[in-house]
Amino acid sequence: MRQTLLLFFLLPALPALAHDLWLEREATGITLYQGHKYSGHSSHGGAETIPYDAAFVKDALCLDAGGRTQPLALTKLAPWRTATADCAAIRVAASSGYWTKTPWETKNVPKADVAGAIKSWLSEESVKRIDSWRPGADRPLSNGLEITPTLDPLAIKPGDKLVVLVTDHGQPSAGVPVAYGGEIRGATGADGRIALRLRQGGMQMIAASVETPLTDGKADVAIRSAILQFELAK
Amino acid sequence: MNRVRFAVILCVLGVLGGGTFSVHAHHGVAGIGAAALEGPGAPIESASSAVLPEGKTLLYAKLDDARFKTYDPSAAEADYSQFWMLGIGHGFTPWFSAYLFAPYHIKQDEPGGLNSRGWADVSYMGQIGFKYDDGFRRVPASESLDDLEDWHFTVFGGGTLPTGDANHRLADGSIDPGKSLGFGRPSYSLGFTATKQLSRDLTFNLEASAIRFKEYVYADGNRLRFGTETRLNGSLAQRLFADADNRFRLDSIIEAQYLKIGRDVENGVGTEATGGRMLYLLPGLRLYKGGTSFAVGIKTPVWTRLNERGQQQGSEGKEKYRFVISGSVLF
Repeated sequence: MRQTLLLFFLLPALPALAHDLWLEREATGITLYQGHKYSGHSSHGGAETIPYDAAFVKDALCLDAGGRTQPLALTKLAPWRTATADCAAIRVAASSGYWTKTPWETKNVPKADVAGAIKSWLSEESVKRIDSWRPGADRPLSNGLEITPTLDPLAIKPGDKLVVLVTDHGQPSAGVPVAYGGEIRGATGADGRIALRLRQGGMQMIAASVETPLTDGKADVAIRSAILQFELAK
Repeated sequence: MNRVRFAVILCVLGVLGGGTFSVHAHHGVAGIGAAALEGPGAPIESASSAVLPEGKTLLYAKLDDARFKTYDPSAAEADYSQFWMLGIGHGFTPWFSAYLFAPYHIKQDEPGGLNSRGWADVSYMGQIGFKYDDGFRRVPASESLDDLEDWHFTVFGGGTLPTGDANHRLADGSIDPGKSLGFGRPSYSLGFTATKQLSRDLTFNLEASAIRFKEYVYADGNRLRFGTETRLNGSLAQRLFADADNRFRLDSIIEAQYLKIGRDVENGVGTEATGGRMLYLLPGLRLYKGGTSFAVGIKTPVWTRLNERGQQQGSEGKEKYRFVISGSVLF
């Protein structure tokens, strides 16, 4: 089915990201931050970054120069940081756990732990940063929800289109809404792909998210989101 | 022959509007979705480059109510014509849609004149959509908003089938082909559209099309072939307002329609008081609400070069205005 936006078809939900995740290249290595540096909005007193616990980070992977995917060590301190410098791409997965909304508040607990639950969800997020285009970069690094460019995104000029592939469990995922620059630009086709026009230089953030029912009794749904991050010359 | 010919309307329907993408606002809260009512706009009446999504069906209704200028108080001149239209369309592939239209026409003269009304010739149309994105290609099954900003095109072809009563007798027993309920024989049409979303809110659309008719021998022995109709329409649609929560969008549209009508040929001779060239302006509004779309506009001739303008009361180019309203639903 054609999923053009021009028709008022109800497309699958795109749970937007609670906060952005991004990987910052610094003198000491690469650091995972959470906040609103690239999303352009903040409701946290204007703070660009928001602290998180070390347990927030669940998994980290590195695509090395040889095209091999290697695990990166998790740290006991937050923010998560790696000194590894030779990763062509890094993917970090995180989860803030279960959330439950009541008429009075939203709490970071399973729905069974509070009275008057209206909605509940498990929040899982990931970010993948690409710094160089190496063999294997055109394939997903993980089995989780992931966005992968189909060609070297670093070679794209502002104004050109980039086709990205959204995968889940290693397979193309259809009908997944995808956002660029904070705006939803469409949903993936049957082949899991979507074309996005990169509007300007600088840091690029492409986001996708899916919502699936949960049967673990702790929440109604799992909201999983993924970010693809790379930087173009300004 | 002073008449407004039966509109062989090959309207590719403007049901364009934003799709909906729910967005959880903050902290992953599974809140109410916000709709992104984006995408290109559509003309009021012209054909656009939108094809129906594969497997989707469109129902359509339209009224084109033409009110004519009158000149001779002592004569029963043409007062108004109403062209009602019911249509159904279906997307057979992402790039091919087909439509069927059933028109109902009312042609009303001033008191003392001769009127006609009834179901007219059904029309059909097939439409192929393609686009330019690093080369020409057929419209794919899925396009992002960024894809929709590319140039999109369609070619369409169709015609009418002689299902209406071409020999419809007026109150005095006569047959006036201009007031008949059909052409008697099939007519054929061919057209082209081009559409470009110039910015987030502004969409340009172009249509070029032609309709050709065949000669028909009426029951009274007269032979007539209507003159070829050639159209060149351009429009701009400006998104004025979008309410994501209510899946509502409102566009303003200005449409310019150039129409050239060839002279009719009756019994082998060019018919007096037929044909000419004219330019209409059609400003209007288009409203989208969920899967429905409504368009309304007032169309007026702003420039005319009719072949015998003094004798063509009641024909195209001699309207005071045409009130155009349409609605469609996609499911």
